[in-house]
Amino acid sequence: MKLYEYQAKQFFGQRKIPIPEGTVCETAEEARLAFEKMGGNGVLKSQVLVGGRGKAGGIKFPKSPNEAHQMTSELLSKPLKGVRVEKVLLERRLDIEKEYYLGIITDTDHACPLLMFSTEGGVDIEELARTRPDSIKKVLIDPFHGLPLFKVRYPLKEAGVPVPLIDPLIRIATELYRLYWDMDGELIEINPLVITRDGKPVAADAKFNIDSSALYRQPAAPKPEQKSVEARAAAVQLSYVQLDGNIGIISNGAGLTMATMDHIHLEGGRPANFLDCGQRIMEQGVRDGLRFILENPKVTAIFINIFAGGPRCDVIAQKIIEAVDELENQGRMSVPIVACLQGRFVEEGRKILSTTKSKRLEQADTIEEAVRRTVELGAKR
Amino acid sequence: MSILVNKETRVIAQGITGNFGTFHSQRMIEYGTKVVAGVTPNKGGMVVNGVPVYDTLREAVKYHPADATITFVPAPFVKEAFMEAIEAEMKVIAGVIEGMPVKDMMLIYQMLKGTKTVLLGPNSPGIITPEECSMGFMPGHVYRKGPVGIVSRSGTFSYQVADAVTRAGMGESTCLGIGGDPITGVTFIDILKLFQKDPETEAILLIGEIGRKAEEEAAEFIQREVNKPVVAIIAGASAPEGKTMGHAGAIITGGKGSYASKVEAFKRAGVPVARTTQEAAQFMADRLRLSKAKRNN
Repeated sequence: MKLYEYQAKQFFGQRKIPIPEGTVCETAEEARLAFEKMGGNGVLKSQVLVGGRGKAGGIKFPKSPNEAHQMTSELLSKPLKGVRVEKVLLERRLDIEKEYYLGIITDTDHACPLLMFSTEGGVDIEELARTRPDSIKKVLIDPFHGLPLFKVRYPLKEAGVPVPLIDPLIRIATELYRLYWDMDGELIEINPLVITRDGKPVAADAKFNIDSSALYRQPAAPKPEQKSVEARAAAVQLSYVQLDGNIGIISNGAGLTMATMDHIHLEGGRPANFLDCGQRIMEQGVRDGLRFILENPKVTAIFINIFAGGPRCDVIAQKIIEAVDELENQGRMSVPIVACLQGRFVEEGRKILSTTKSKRLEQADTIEEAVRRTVELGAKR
Repeated sequence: MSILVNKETRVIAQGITGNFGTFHSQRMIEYGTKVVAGVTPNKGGMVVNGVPVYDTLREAVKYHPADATITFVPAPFVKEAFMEAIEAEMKVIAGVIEGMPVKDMMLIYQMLKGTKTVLLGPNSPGIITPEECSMGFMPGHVYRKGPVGIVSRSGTFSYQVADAVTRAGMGESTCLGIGGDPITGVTFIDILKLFQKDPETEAILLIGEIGRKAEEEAAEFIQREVNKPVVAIIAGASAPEGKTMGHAGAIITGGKGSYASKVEAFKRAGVPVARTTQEAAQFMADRLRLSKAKRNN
């Protein structure tokens, strides 16, 4: 789960990692008052979870309280890279001497945390890794032993950090690691880590991602937002990812769902979503899944591809028929569906599916046939 | 022969008393797997599916020597269960639970170093040696004894592929999942080594996914060390960058873990990459025929 900059900075503040003075604003009027209180010299930053915020126009430098009002109202009124902006962070502008990078990520290749430092901060770290890999100093951390001070001192010395800055930066790195570790972090990043003209390090930006699997033991973590279709699906144990094509997909198992998308793609169709029903395939997974898919106006056909290893095709077929009938009765079933069942009790399942009253539901015996038919039906509309 | 498990394998079921553990251990027993004991703290003395339950793994193996364990315990307790199994020197752990915190797995990974324990998962469908032993969720009816070793990052997708292999008349030596999480106990390479050594395995089918670099590393290893025919199939050709596709490990970030990079690596290693399940079975049948013809000449 990704945290917003302002949320990450609240955690930074609690751990005494220096952050700029700032106020979170939800209205233009709040921004005007806060700017006035700050005595000018502020920067407005849209709170969104997408990269490239500055380039997309999500950061503004007002010169007066009225301008702060006007700019905030603009930022809040239009989406940034397709995402609605609900909050704007007003911060005091920093007097920048240098921009460093400091981050800790879970290195899945080495199965341990990785600390990264660079004196060339302020740019995208992935870009920096491509163009100037030598400028990034890396330290693998043994998760049992944590991060000793000397392990931070090495890369700082190597990168040529001036001596007076070394101890303050070690303190920040230590706190950052503790935060990452205690909060089940996946990634925690200060970019840029600004060194001000009076020689003080300040976290000008903040990124913090927490392992979703560990949220149950992180009561201090912000509650996940329930607005997106992805989040609403997750709340009923369905794994859904919105894509930009027209063929809705329901399957069981993450690998099989991806393979189903690939097959649709191979036959010239474009998947509208990834939807893995997992264990809920034997319950109301298909019904709930169809509802989420039908919310997407781009969908012109739906493919249900099930391989029943543990589950049974006859039970699943019954669930599919009930779900389709229910949606038909509600007048919400607007597109054709092709189902392909394989696995346990497949003959019984296919027989049950053939008893459907819906004219929109058809089935195919092989995946090849089902994929071709779905793509064909989807293109007709 | 086969790899890791066979008809002699004696299995412990950690968390056997929960609904999940009871259901799946019953299916394992029906398949013919020797489930010798169960473990659930504070439930010692119970009998589930005819299997005696103990409070600790140490007690269980004291009375019922065993070499493998399957962990059905809920995600928050998986770290404990793995640690107990590693300390008891289990040869194989089937880590079938999804949603284990990555931090816990980082610690387990470090703990595994220098031990002989093979940890499948977390988030693995388990392992099956057809007609001998099943530890996990694999649907028994799909598999027949045969020459193809299958190693996979997926669950259901691997059943579908195995089904196609069986229907094409080939059958499998052992099939297993390394797990769909960002960090897993074993890698493809560990399993490829075992298949390469196993006389019953004549060819290997590798089922990959986007994300991580397990497939790229596997391809390099195959080029260097594997002389048996290998066929690969990779899920996620049409997945966009930056989105987690169901499995926590299936995500392309910063261009890393892309489908193209994996296909490229396999091509360099001379491994054909099938685009569909049917094609995978077809490629496998062709390769087996070819290697048989070679041996007969």
